Amino acid sequence: MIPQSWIDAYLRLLLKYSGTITILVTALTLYFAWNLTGLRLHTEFFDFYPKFRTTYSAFTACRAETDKGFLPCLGTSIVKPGPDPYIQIYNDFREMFGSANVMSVIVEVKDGDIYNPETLQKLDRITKHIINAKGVVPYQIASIAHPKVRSITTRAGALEIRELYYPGVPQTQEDAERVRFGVHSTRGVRGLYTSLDDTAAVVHAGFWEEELDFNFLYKHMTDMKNAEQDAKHNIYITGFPWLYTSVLRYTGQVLLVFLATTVSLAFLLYVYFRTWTGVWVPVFSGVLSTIWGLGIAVLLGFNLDPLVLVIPVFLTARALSHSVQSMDRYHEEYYHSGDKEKAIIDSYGHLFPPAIASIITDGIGLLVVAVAPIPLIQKVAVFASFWVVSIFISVVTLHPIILKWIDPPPKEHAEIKVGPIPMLRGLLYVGINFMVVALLAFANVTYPVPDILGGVGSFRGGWALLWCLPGICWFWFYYAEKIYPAITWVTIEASEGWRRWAMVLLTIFLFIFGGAQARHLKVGDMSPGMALLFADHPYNVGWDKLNDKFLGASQLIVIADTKRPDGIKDSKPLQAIEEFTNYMIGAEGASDAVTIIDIVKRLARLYHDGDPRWGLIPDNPKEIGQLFYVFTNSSAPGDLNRFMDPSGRFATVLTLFRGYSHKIITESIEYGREFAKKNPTDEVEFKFAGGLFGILAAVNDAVESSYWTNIILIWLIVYICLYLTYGTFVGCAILMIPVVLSQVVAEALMVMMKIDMNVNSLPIAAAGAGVGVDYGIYHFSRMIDSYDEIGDLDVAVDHATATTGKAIIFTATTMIAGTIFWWFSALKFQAEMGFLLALLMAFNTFGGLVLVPAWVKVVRPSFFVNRVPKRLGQGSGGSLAKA
Amino acid sequence: MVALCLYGLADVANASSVTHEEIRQSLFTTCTSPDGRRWIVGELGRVLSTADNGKTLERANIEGREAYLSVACSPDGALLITGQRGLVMRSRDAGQTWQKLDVGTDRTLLSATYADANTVFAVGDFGTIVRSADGGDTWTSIALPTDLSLPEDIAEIIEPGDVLLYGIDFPSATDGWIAGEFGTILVSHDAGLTWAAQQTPEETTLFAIAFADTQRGWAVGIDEVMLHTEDGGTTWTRQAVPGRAGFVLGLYGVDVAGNIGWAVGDNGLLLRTTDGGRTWERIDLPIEFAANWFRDIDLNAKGEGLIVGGHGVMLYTNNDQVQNLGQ
Repeated sequence: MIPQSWIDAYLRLLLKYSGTITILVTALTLYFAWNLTGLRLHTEFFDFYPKFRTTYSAFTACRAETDKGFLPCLGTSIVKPGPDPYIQIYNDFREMFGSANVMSVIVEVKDGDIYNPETLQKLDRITKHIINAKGVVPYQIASIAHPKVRSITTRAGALEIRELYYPGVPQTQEDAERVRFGVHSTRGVRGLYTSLDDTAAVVHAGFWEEELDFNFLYKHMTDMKNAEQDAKHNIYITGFPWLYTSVLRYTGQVLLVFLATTVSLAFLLYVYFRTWTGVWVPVFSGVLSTIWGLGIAVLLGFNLDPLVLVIPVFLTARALSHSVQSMDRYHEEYYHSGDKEKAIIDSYGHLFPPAIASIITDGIGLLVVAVAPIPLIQKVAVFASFWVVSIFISVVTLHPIILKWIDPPPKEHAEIKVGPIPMLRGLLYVGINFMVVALLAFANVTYPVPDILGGVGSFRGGWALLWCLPGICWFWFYYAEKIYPAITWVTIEASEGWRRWAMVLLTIFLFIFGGAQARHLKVGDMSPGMALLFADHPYNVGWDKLNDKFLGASQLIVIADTKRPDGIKDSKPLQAIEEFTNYMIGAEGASDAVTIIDIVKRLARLYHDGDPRWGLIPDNPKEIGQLFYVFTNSSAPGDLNRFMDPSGRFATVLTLFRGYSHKIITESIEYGREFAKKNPTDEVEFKFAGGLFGILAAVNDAVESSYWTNIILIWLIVYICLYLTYGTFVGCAILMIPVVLSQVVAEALMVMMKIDMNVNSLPIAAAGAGVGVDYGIYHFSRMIDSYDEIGDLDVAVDHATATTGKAIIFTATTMIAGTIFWWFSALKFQAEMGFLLALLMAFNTFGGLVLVPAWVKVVRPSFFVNRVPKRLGQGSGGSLAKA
Repeated sequence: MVALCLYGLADVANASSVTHEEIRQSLFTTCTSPDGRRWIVGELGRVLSTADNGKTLERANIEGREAYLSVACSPDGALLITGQRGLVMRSRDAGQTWQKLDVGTDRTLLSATYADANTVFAVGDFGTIVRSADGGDTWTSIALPTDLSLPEDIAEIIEPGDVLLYGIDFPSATDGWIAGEFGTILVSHDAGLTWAAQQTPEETTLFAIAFADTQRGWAVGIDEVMLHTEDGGTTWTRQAVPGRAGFVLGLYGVDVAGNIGWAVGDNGLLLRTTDGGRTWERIDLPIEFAANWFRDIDLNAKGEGLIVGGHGVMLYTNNDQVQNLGQ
């Protein structure tokens, strides 16, 4: 605990050197603001890939692979976990085997099949169009119209490798029929580049992560789609590069949400304080923290991912509510004493411990998220943490100075004239409004409104909200003064008499029920597209098409390392790879596997006039070498890149899956490892795992194992902060109830709403836990103050609720207003997370206001009961009358 | 004369049943035992058998993972399998146990057949012909005929004795034919002790040869070549094959019994005759088969046939009808 004398001294120092401090803060703010010009709002692909392996996996690997003891392994795994093995493989072999960021463009015919000149010409134009996209990997473009995808046949005893469109882009139906046969007769084309039912063809294009230009890509591909989509054809674009391109389209909408949130927060502030000071001072704090938070992000070289913008907006609301807590207390003290300076020192002196405690818990809580080894999360953690800590400047330090300079609040609140409509009719009006909102929102989900805003994206349910917003505002404006006391009254009543026991039972019930549900929470089962965008978004429609009609949208790449140059050109390693490939086709969900073996066998066969009985791996390395020589001489450079590296040391085993889930990913990798374990060979070492599966496995592993580490660490830190602030074991345990309960209930709701845990939900869960404890902190601090004044626990608790309750409820409304607008976002991820944060906040408010008092009254911690009331009869005991 | 050499019994456990979905390997050859059981061999040590024309299958558990290139069924029920590096294996107990035989060559043996219960042949790479007169116990290497000549341009680079022999058929105990590279067809009328070259109108590779009797025979090969003789091979003429426009595909196997006959080839090419092999028509299978090849066709005494090929594909033919067993 910080000694009260220090706090008072600090406040006096602030007031004395207010000028100097203001200049300093202004200078710093200007510096940060100047930095904002360098703010980059975009998605960095590498940010999603874990940099390091998790401590847990490093530890198990250390124990299994070395003979180090428990403690040395523990130490190494914490200090030097080493790079994530999957991402390491991906990065090592990316140049060799191409990017996993593959965009897919599907051309689907509405009637008949694709084997007609018109469709095949369209496919040719689209393929050529994509070749000109920025950042595309030149050798990673493939479609049946691309010369890279070839048919290999023999003709008059000679090898004939030719493009499927040979001799040129089909002009007649006869040409198209030739393409049809070429596609069907070449293994590894049908299913991969044309759909199994012949009604669609796809162009796959890999992109280098660092060279992607999303805006360019959007324009480039939209131009193509507009030009090529017609009455006979549907065009779908999907794949990772397009996912983030689609997400970035909503940046405009994000700004709209920002605006809506700001306006509604200002409105709530005005209604609360009824003074312009009450609006601009907190808004000023919010803006200042925003500048600092974003400024530090720029200084640290971070980009701002539009997906996680929910957090900054949430934190701004956080800054605002801290500001409100302190303003409110200042007003109260000022009305009480009438002395501005004394009111400042009294109010901020009291608020200092809870403010510091909550800022530190928020800050450290967010920082702890950085243990997840995913750069995106680490970046969010660092700048969000700084953002929160900047509240110490924007609120705790600057407010006393601002308040010193501006006029004191008017003696009495501006009298609110309740309008001519009685409250009951007002309620009815609002009720009808809410029903209309619900109906419109429901209708909008079922029958989405077309994109009226043009480019901004369909603002889900937003129109419905706008429609009845005036009604809600009107009601709030006139009846807020009645609503706050009403809620406060209900809150106090909830912990009176027998009801406190009911509340305790309710807590236990929620723990059991929520816990049972939360156990089913799983890691990222759905595709990234489904996690980020709604199911009817064109991206997801395209993704579904890709998975329905084609094979291999999901690939597991295993690297076969022969440990010597040209090892691939030897029969023993090739046989080992063949055995493994045959085995992998047996993995659950696997549909096929593609390796260099296919080419070797096909070449060996063609070398012997095409007899399938020669389609075997030759036992003579010389003969294998010869086959490769023939192939490279009759094909384009780079044609083998997908299968082996130029040195001939590494080869890929590409297993194709139909769709994927976290279960399929982990099980298929485990299935492959099992083989490597059971069939040890000196010839080949199988390295797991590259491709989309490797990356997703790495991300999911990191999320899964960091999630609980994170939450437990955050709870621990929150508890330590609480203990350092209050020094009571039991009291702090009671304060932890809402925090833990909110998490459990939120997880249960995630399970019930089928929201999966993924990279993005990790920092939000953590932010919710850290921020959520604040309600309890403010309330608890006030209980202590009240107990010191009153000396009776029950009365003190009620008094605390009566005085702080209003501010807490207000804070809750601001926090919910700060998150609820995301609910209408066309980005499913933001909508879900905004909604979840709102829920977390609502539960934390409920816990802080209702459950904590009930538990305090039931448990009666010795911290209170044995306390010698310090200032009995002094200070603001007069406000007791309010209770 | 090569001495009999038994390497002992190869590891064989009991046969286990397998489904068509489980067979992903290429299947190369099929033959029918006197008891009606069909035998099929393929890559990665696959030896399959079926008693009901492919509806249900059993896999012989052979330890080896070599590619088995051909299987021959003896009139007395014995089985012979050939493979790479002179591999020959024999079973005399319907596939329960297998003996590895030393035939005195390390060449790839592509085809084998029984002339009668005792006389058995295998042919392959570099003009290899090996013959056993005691059911496989001892083997003799048979020389190629001295009158074998290759087309002029080929003869400059390849010795006639190195010609690759792909297929062999013995319609009777004494009369047999062999087909191979450069349009080579050899004939023997003394149970395979000596061979003579026959004149053919083609200079390209022939993959298979089949005789309905000692007079009527067919040889198929690369680029849809189908040769036919009505006089025991004295004259061979090329038959018209209704191929697919724009693609000239290989034919890998042929068999004719009575009026019905089938020829199979690359990219799902399937030909049928209903007039005893005088004319052939193309059967258009679903386009999915274009990605696959058929390697062998074997008709049994009742005229039912089994076609085997890549990725475990199996077709059953009955009279002039064909059915895919995989689905």
